[in-house]
Amino acid sequence: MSLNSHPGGGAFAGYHPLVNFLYFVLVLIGAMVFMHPLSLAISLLGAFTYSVMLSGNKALKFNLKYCIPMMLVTALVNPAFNHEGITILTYLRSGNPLTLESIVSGCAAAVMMVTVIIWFSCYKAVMTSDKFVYLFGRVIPSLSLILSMVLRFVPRFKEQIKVISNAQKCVGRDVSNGGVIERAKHGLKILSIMGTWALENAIETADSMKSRGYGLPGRTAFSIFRFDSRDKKALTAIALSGALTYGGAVAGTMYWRYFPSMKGVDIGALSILTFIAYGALCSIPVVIQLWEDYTWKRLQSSI
Amino acid sequence: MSKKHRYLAILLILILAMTTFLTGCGGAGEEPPVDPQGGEQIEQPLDEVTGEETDSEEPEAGDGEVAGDSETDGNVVTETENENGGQGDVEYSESQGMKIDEETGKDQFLTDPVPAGKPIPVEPQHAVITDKQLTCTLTITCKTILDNIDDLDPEKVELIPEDGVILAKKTVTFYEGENVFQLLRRETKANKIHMEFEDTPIYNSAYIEGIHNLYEFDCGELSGWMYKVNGWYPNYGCSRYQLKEGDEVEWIYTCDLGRDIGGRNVLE
Repeated sequence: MSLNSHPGGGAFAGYHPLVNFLYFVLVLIGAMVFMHPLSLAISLLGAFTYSVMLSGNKALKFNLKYCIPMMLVTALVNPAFNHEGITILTYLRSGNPLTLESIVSGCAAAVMMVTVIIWFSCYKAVMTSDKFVYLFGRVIPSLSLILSMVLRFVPRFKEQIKVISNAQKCVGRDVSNGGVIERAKHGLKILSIMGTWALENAIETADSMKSRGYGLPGRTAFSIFRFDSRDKKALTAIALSGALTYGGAVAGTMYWRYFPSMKGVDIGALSILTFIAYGALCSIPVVIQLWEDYTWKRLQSSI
Repeated sequence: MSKKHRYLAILLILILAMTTFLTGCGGAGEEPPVDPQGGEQIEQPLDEVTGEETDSEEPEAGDGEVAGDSETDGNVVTETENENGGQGDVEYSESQGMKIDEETGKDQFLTDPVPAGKPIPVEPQHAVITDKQLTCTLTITCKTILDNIDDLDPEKVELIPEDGVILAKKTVTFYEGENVFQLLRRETKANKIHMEFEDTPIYNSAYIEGIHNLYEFDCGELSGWMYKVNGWYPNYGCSRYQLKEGDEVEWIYTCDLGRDIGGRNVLE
């Protein structure tokens, strides 16, 4: 498998925003709701592969360096608060029991959390704010604008702070100049400049959007999104695997409980089908990317 | 890029660590004394707890020496009803050493006066636990669930014993000065029965959340564990009920705030 990074969002990002959005909705809800260990593993694997495919080593580093400690902490914290379960391993200092079930469910919750974070990092790379506004600009104009602004807020802030900090550095007033108190002063100054800029910028944005007639009836927006046969195919695949997965989940073929004792559905043909469908759903963007890469290489070599 | 992630991760971990630390501390600090293996072991942590939680007004309940030094005239209003043990008796409670606040009609841990003839609460911090072994009986039942099985969390149905008896009446040993909570804790541990509790400083007692993985609210929203000693449902927490020789302690699961097990309604 090629691990070339695709910073632009890769092949899947080239699909229609509707396809992208539907996909992430299905996958994110699935990652949060399906707590069967196998479902968790499938979703984590899918998210991990896709994030590495999108951002290469950067994602790999992030996943390993921050997600694993986060997972460990979550997994350790759960048994400190939750004492339910029939398998008592030992007693904690507080006098409450430490149970196997609470440890395992803590691990499951940790995996779930990390999986959702990784899926969201993929979402961020693929569902850019223009796509989001394209989808929801008509239905919920103000909310979608706010959402896209909020999502852009942190990266934007960071960029601007870098600009200010560089400007201050030129006059010797950056946080890297001077002693501790001086530095703190400079830092506060930069933050104050930042605050002024943010307030001014917010008003400017609002005025600008208003003067362009954003949200008014009859206003059209330029977009280059086309729903073609490729999107149709992808949508069918997503809808089909999604329906199978969610249908199965509703019917209980992915049933698993952690308390009071761990017990899951007997793995039968239907369960296997559901898990395969879920696996297919989670790996759709990766498969699309691999197919694209393969086609590209094949075309190149046949020249 | 990696720098910002580092800050984020550090922040997250800090928050998590802080929550763990704080709650961990709370749990350890409020913990009532356990393990009766050595009577003198217990006294040391006791003082810590006292210092933290009780103010100087604390009645010397354990000794029973503090006579009702308050004016008995104005206290008639504060009598409260207790279906099971009769009326809460202010005069009796005060003569036993319970310190009732005139304004609220309750003691400093929000307990109403006890009915005449019933033991008043003994703060676990003040209890003197000796080496003297005494016996009492202990029963744990959840028979009410059998009648309300439809309300029960479906995942828990398999836990219910057919006769509803989790621990059949059993004669158990305790150390003089111990309370109902300490007994329950030791016996559930010894009999490999799951039990989870939470310390509630405002009532100066442990609250039993679940026994045998049957938790409060598992069988309808009015359900939970109650305890009964010698046929009476005390109107205070189990950490404040000091055991005596021959006491009959029962832990009973209620599905209706105690009304279905012949107890007082805990909300009244």
